[in-house]
Amino acid sequence: MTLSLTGVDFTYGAGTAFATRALSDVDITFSPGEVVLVLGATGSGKSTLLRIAAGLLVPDAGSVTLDGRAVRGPLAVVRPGVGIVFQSPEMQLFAESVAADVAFGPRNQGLSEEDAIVEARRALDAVGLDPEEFGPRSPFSLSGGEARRAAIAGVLAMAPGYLMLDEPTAGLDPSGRESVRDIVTAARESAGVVVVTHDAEEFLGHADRVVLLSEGRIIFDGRTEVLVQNPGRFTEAGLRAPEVLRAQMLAQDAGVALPRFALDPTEVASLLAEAWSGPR
Amino acid sequence: MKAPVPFGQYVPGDSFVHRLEPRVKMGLVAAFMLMVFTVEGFAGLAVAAGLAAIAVAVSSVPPRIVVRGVRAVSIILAFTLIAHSLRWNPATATLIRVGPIGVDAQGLITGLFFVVRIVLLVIGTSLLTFTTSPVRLADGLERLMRPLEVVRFPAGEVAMMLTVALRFIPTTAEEAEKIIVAQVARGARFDTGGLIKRARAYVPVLVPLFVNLFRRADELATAMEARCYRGGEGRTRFTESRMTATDWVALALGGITMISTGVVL
Repeated sequence: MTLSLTGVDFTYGAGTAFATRALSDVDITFSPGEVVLVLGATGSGKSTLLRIAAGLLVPDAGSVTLDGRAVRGPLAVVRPGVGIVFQSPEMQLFAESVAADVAFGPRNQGLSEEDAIVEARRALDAVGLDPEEFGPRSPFSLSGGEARRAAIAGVLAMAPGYLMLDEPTAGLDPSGRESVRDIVTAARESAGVVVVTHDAEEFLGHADRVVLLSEGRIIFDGRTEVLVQNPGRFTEAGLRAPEVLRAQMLAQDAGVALPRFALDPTEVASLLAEAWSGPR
Repeated sequence: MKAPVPFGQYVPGDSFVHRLEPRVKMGLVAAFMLMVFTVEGFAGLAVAAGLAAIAVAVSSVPPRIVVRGVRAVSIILAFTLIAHSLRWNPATATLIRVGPIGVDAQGLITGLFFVVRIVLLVIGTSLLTFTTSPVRLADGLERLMRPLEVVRFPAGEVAMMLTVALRFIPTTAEEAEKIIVAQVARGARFDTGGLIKRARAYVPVLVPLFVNLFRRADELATAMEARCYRGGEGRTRFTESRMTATDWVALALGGITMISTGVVL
């Protein structure tokens, strides 16, 4: 199941004095089982791209297709469709219990009450919240990290073919961020995953592919390894390269002949040791 | 798609209308409303429409934004026109007769008169909020209410409440829009079913919206206290708005023109 955006343009307030171009001639394809990281500075069009891919916004020009079929309307209602987790998704929790809130999506997809509850329990398990303990609780009694996980479960319960997350770790403590990264890693088993963020540090090591957006245009779309070897591309997108890459760039500028750049600190240490003392 | 300027929201600018003292604008809007309510024929409404058109042109507010404000009350306009035009006794209906219902020419004219009156009221009042920032609007209201402090009316607190309420209208609208999109992304539908089903469909929007509003109100109150806010008594202003000669001339000319039009026409 391939999700493709072709020649997509989008302008907010088109035809008014407040028109703001968000995306220009965007071509991108997402595939199942792949984790794609969409990086860009604030206002680069990341969130708009996500909304268009999920069928929540209609592009001014270009097309969105799912397995070659044109998309019309929200893709959440189909199974397996596109599930989207917005920034601060815990703000959308509303039901009297966590289980009822997580079952909201499956019920909207037309599942019976029993099947929706089964899906809700499965999704709560997937995000590390025990259904027995958390299911009956009020969503408003959860901690920030738990509420975020419950909100993500609400989207996972819809069995999406693609899981799209907009700044999923914003405002979480280190353990909360780690939980979300674990959820993303686990989700790739059953879905294509697209993570949108301005923080290159957080998910780069978990992504198969990276897309860099700048002023509504894609300026890089390739394998993570390729971007890691060209860290200057982060600056072109108005971003800061991850600290581990910056350290290697500084070392190279200081005359250390690194054969390549790496993301894993252990590998970086080994490369630096080799460069200083020669191959062992 | 999200509207870039919601109905009634301030449109930043530096036009003559923007620069007028808020109390003058409120006075002129009151005079305009008085005129629109007192004129008895289309000639009076035509003068009011002319004055409104001049005000819009001078304000530099894009006309399409003004039109959008009128569109927001289109259901009320349609209801007003229909309610005045329809007659249940076909014998008196002169234009169209369908069974026991007919359309009367005089009723249609009366309906049109009221429709134009409502449109002018919407344009006149929305022009005030389009050209006056919430803070200046609240300042103006506070100064207008200040004489009431002699009877222990809390003018400062009321003005602060208005400032905060006006400040959070666009924020709340934006938040409501975000929650609606998030629930649509979970398969919620707001455009299907009867009235009760549609009303119930908004529960997943209203519950988180109110929870967030209460949380924000609590945080704002704490933040204001942390910055030593202790109510309105004895508070001074960072910028004191003063009436200039231009303000007095605009108030006198506009007020006299509108009130005399209301009395004569």
